[in-house]
Amino acid sequence: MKVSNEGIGADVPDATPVVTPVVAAAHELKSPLSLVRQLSLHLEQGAITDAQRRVLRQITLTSERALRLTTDLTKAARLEDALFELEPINPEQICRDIVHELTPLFEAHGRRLDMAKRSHPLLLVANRDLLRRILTNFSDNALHYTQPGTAVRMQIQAFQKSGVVRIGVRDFGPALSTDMWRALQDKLATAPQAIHARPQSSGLGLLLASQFAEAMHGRVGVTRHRDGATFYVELQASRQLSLL
Amino acid sequence: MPAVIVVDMLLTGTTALALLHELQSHTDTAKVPVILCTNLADGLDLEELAPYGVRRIVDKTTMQPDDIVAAVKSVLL
Repeated sequence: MKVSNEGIGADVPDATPVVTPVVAAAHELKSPLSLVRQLSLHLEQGAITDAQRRVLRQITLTSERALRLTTDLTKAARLEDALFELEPINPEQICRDIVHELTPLFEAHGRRLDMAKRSHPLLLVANRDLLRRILTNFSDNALHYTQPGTAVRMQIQAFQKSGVVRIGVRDFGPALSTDMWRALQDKLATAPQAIHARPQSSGLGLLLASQFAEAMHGRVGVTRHRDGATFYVELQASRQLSLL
Repeated sequence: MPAVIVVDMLLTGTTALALLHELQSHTDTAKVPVILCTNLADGLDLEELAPYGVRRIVDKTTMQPDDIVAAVKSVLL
């Protein structure tokens, strides 16, 4: 993905990514965020009321969300230098792990996260860590926009003709307006900068997800619904199962 | 002599790697097992750090309070 130089001085080489100051900030934020999380965990173990425990749980979960973002940022900075191992992966297992990990966060916000079951197993070619980050990112985003009492749903689809597997995260929140939809489609195809997907969203998560997907020769996309959106990642299907 | 050393990666003025080099250069301290407790765990490889005496890496961003105790116990067994 070509990176824009906008806002940087003329003597900076073209290859310098604009994201570098952001990555430096992410490194700096890791320590205080870790500390907030550790302090909150420590207080949770003390003699406190239920109301205080709920507040501390929110602090822990929120700091964990922020830490995931800082880790994604630092990882994105290493994408061009690192060789990421691609292997056949069962996406259902990753989705199950994410549901298990994020359920406390969703419940704390009065929402649910679940996964549509598949009758036939399938494999796709990906890097386990990057795929996990994309889907966690989408789920974090969906939590923000899905209505209270609804369930964010992860769904896996196989497209045999094109040989791709699509993993989507469906939320039931405000619909994307037509203008926003057109801008999003355009930017997903071409832009090197953060994509403003929804109101009050910086689009940073979607930018990182698209960089991770690209590193795995895949892509991210979005489907608009009347009552929400599905953000998805598409990756190459593995043919290993068909050879057995 | 300590039974185990728990150290962060980023130290005042230097990094843990400089400390580990120093520890490995003395026969008595070279044998002391080290546990790295750091926010930078994501970019570290235990296999690569093993020659420096590192036996465990604890990720500060995801650890639970008891994880340090568990790591120390596992190293001392």
